[in-house]
Amino acid sequence: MRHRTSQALLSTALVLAGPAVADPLISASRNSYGLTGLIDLPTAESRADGELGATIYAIDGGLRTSFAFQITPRLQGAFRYSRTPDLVSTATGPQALYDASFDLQWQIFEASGWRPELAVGLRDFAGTGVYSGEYLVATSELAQGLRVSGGLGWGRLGADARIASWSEALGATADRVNKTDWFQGDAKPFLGASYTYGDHLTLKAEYSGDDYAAETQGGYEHSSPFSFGADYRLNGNAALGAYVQNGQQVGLQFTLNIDPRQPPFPSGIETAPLPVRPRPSLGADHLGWSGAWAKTPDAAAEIQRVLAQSLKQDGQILESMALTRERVEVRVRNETYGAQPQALGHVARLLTRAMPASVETFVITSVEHGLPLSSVTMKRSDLERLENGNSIEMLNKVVIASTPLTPETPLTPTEGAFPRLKWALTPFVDASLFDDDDPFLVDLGLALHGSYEFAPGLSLSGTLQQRVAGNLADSTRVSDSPVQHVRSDLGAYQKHGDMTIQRLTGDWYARPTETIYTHVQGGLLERMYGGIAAEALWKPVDQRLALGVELASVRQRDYNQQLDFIDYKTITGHASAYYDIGNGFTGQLDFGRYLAQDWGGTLALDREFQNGWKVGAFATVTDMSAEDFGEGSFDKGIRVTIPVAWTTGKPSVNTVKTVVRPAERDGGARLELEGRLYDTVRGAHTGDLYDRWGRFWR
Amino acid sequence: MKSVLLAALCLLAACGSAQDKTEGSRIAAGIGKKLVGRFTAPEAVPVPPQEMAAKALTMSAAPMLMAQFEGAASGDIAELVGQNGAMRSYTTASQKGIILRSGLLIGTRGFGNDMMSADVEPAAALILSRTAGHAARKLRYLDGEGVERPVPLDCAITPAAPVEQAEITLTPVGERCVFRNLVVENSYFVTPEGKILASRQWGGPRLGYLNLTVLRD
Repeated sequence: MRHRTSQALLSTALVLAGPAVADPLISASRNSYGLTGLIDLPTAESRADGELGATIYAIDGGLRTSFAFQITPRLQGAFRYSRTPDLVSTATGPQALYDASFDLQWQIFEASGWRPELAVGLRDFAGTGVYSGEYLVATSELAQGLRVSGGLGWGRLGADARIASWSEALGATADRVNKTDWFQGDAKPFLGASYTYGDHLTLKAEYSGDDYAAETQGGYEHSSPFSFGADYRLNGNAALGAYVQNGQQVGLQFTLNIDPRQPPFPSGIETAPLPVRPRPSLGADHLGWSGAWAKTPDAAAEIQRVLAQSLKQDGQILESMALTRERVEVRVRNETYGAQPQALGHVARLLTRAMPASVETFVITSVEHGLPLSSVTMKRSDLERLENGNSIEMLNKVVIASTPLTPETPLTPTEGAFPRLKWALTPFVDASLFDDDDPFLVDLGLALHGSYEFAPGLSLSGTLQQRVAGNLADSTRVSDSPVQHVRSDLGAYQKHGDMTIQRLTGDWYARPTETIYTHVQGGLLERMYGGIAAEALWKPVDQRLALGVELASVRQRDYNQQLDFIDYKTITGHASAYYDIGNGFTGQLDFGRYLAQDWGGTLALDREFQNGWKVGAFATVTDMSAEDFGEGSFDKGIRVTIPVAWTTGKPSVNTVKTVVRPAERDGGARLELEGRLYDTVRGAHTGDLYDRWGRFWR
Repeated sequence: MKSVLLAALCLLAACGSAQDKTEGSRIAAGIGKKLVGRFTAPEAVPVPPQEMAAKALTMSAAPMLMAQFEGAASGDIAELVGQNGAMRSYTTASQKGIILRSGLLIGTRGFGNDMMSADVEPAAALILSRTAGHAARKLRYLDGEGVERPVPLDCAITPAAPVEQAEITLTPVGERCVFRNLVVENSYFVTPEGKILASRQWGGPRLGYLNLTVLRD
């Protein structure tokens, strides 16, 4: 249950250019479904572990946008939006079919000697079934650059469509995981080959059993089971493809790949920190070593002032300090470094420069919103001896523990640290995309942010927005949900852009016991709700498990997002469990009552990279019926978090978070609160500290 | 009118004391400036190294080096900012760091693919005493996820015959290190007192070789 340092991993040598001895076949390009493959067909190859790909494929007026992720070295998944025009004849004329689908492909074994790679896949396994199919595929590299794949396909790949009629697809609201259909029905073989020439060009050819039955109704001409094409890699990330499918149809593909494990600046381009200042000899600094300096009345205050100034230049705030002859404890808020160990390393070095010689023990307590998250104790002699050495040696010497409720020595707050006013005037963008009628609506404007911290943990903050230009007011999106529109009225909110209060809350953070943190916030909590919310989290510093409860009493806000409310109020709350599974995976389980007064649970699984990237998926099942929920029948989606520092190379605590849902409906809706405790406290706990300790001497 | 202008200015660069909120706009403004700079900035004329060194030596009394990565347009003057035993930390004008132990490169800071640390004691002992022999080295870098990873090198040190240069006797010492397909060839000019006056040392897989010249010890 406890986190342990993985010393074994740290002795694995850095991968330099060139393949290792045994590699899975890494595919040179993606297929039109976003996974590894040829044109429509899959191959048993993989992409680099953790790589993300976005693929747009346009053919005969139809469009497929897929987002794929190499979840583990053998498992890849994809999530797709597709639009097939003129597919369904209705009373009002032919309608396009919009669909969301999910794929999974698992590599059973890698190539070895004569044995080909073998993979099994499920295409569109939880959608309305337009692309539904299953397959087994084997890929082998016959010669340098020449790979041949062959396999068996069921469902659509076996010309055996899973849906009887396309009007059924249009009306279907159930996203069934159709387990009973898998590998049933007719299977057809498929075959294909790819030839990669040089660094850029890949030629592809395939024979597929997919008869495009659905699209043929809409005018697609399927005259041959053969397709040919070429893929051209523009650079390490982007590629263009052009295919001639089924004899006549021309398809164009654009792919963008990003590998979270290949940042532009792995160690960052931030400046070098001030180095450790070793102590002079005993003879040279008798005053410092003897501790006689402590008798001077203003010595501690002066040292604190100088230290606060140096930390501020480093991008950190010294909130308080307790200094005795041999020990110093500092409470520091890191406002700059995404990796907490880097912040700790900077504080440690600055302490060696500011503290008199007799101070041997440094205790650095990381603070966030006034909450002491953990205390890291280190010896000055170790810092002097191990500076710029192997970071694991320093990790073995420090002690990471939870901060006691009453400090060993009373802390002196830094003068001028509180109260603190911060404000910012920034541009903002709000958009509504992929809507059937208005695919591109955007607003631009100015946002005013302000926060006033009275004391550690007590603050008032808010954001005000004013639209300057845009067309979101023309949105005609109307929700057809039969339940209370707790989330599906987003269009109605987006229409109003004048002096909207995005958030205006008072926050109070506290830590009643060593391992329990609490947060109470009240006011206009988010765009659509106002009220009062309270959260408590139990999370010991060195455990993988955390447990939390959240309870909120809220009213839905008026569409004008000012101080008015509409006539809907509810109590929503959840009990949550968070678990750091290991190998980069974390899971979260929530049970409770959602905004539309539906009861149920959410399961989320995230792949976390040690540089701060997170890619995950979630699904919520509640007692709201599939009919009431509407399109999609239950809430699900994909979420990606990208640390800003990864892209720029400059240190930053900011991240960009995106959540993509196939349909924004009213079931399984939670409040979008800021300052949720798990993400607030985990950065200074052992899991993240161990993961990112390599930056201690950075 | 004034408020419209102010709003327009803020739109361009974002104002305020909340650094975390203004970061996005500052990044966008930075990119904008770089793009404009590509078209409008005059070509920077590199200053010859002797001139740069001479000027730096008059401006400061601290120990300093001239550091230039192979392939870079010009070198940088790096000044000593800290000494901890045999380890010296130097910083360039742009606040990038070069860390040496007994004259051997053991770290860089701020170059994006920095050498985090290096175990060089056995190799240093041979090089400084200008003795032939074998030594193991270990260099450490951060991989894409920020995890520290070692590159272990097996090095052969071969001193050559001493040369006279401007009244100083220097012994050229070569060091050839191997790890799988990687071959690193460092070279040093060592004084009779066992100090490295000039050297060409490998910084890392994506940094390449660094030429270091001691301007003032």
